[in-house]
Amino acid sequence: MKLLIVEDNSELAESILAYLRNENFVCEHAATYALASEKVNLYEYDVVILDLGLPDASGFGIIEELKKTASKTGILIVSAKNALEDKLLGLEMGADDYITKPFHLAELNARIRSLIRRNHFGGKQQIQIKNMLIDLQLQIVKVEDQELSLTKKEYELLLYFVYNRNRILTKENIAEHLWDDNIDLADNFDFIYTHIKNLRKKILNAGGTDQIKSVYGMGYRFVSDEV
Amino acid sequence: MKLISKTTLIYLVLFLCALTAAGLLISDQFQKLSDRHVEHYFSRKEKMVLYRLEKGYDVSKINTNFGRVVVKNIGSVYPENRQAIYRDSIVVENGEQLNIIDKTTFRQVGNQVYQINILRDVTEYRELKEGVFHTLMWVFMSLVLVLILANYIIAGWLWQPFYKVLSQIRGFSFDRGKRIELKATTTKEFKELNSFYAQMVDKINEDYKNLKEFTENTAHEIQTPIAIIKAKIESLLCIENIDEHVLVQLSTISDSASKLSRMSRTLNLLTKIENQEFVSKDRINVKAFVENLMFNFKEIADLKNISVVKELDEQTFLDIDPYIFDILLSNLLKNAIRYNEENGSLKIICQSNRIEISNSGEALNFDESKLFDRFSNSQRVNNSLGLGLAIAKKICDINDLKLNYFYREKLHVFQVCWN
Repeated sequence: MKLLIVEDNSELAESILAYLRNENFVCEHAATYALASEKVNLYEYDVVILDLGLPDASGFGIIEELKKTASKTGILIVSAKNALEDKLLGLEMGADDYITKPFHLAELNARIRSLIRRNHFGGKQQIQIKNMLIDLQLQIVKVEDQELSLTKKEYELLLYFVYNRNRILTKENIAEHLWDDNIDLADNFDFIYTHIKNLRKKILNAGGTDQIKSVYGMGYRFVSDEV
Repeated sequence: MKLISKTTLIYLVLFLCALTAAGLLISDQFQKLSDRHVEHYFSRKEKMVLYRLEKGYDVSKINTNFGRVVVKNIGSVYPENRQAIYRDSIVVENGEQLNIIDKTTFRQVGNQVYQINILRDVTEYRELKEGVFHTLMWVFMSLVLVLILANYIIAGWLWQPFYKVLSQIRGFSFDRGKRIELKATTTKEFKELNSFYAQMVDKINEDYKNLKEFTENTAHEIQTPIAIIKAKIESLLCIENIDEHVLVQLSTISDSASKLSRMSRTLNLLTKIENQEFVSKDRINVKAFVENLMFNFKEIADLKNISVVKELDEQTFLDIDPYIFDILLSNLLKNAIRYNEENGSLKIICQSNRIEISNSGEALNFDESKLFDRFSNSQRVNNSLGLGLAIAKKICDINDLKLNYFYREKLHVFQVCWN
């Protein structure tokens, strides 16, 4: 999967590139509008991660350019502004998703994967881990062919773990993913504990393996040796 | 009372007083004038009578026809009261009503005392006086009317620049960015008023713009370094074989960075609300709105096994910016769940002019009056920003809603009321 990271802040870009390359994405970087424009016109990317606040011009123009070429490139806009107008405008112009700074890299990862799945129907629609099967299209989880009755949040939680397997996810990270800034319940982590407890119980009851491990004082990690 | 009405009223009263005084004065002078004339007549007639008496004419020769002059010989002694006597009477002669004044004097000629009685018809004087009086009254009334009208119109025209400034002030709002329109004027004071007002407005707008920029910049710019902090820490967390203690420190740093970011954004929101940036109003059906929110909150309430009861009236409406209303209700509901106990209860009521959210829980362990202050909450659950209720209060203040709190029967109750 080929990604283009359009971000003018070099340190941030560096972190994003390192993280995503670690996730086995092929990544390219553009720090200005001019460079980004050049790249999108020359190459086809699966997803473009686009920072709206570029030094030489507003990132919205890149969305326009991508839409002009009628490409199937997924567009994920990034902005420090939590402004509703920017978000709506971007989505209206054709962006697929929106993420605000500061974000967790794990969150970015999850969003990119969701985007790819949505845009590439020919791609992987199922994830198999040990005896657990996650059907991304139907959004159900089966263990040994028995469907688990998970709530929406529990499903999202499991998917988030799987997308970011083997990485430590702090409670705060998980909370922000599940509840979005608007509700801002991310400041009470007891909920996380309960959610994870419920999820684990359901997996175990169906005969699956509990791969969610607590990391003391930090959060949780989904341990998996499968790629 | 309006300015023009006041000045008109004052002028009215003054005019009436002045003109009444003038009227009375004229009337009085007229009376005095006619009195002098009458007295002159009496004097002349008296002189004539005395002359004739001294000449030795017979009394019957002096008395005139119609009894205008009547002289009587009353002996040789003055009566006790020698003062001249005036009598006012109304007499009917030939079918006409006449006003008569008669004067009786006593005079001695030789060694005889005579009583001289002279009559004067003053009907015409009276009629003239009344005529003049009436005319004056009409003239004065008309004058008053004209003056009042003129005052009203002229004042209205003169004061226009003032009223223009007043209406500008009335409609002033930071957000509108309207150019101020002032009426050009030659009146010195109003010129000054216009000038000062324009200056003041410019200064206010400038300050506001600066404040807004500052607030936005702070919130905005802060996010990028924070994003870098979080990104780097997340990278560090991925490194194999790190000492557990190091991991914990990193986790704390990351959490604090996130909290910093959230705090900055929330304070920014608070300032925006204060600056009236959310003033667009939609007619919102409260029941539908609450149902929508509860869709998300229900799941969280379930985690604590909190029972939720809703009594929502269909016909409750509120005119408010939906974005801000969402924040208000979310904050209240969030608190109602967070500060609730396991297996507790949550009740939401909405009626025609209020919304009530109550939850079970322990009483506050701090002063109730500080409840809506920023960062005041000592009972704060870990990581809570302490701004939720401050924001709720601010939203209510700006939108003319009343936010009440009380603790009753072991329930925390929050009410949002409006007219």
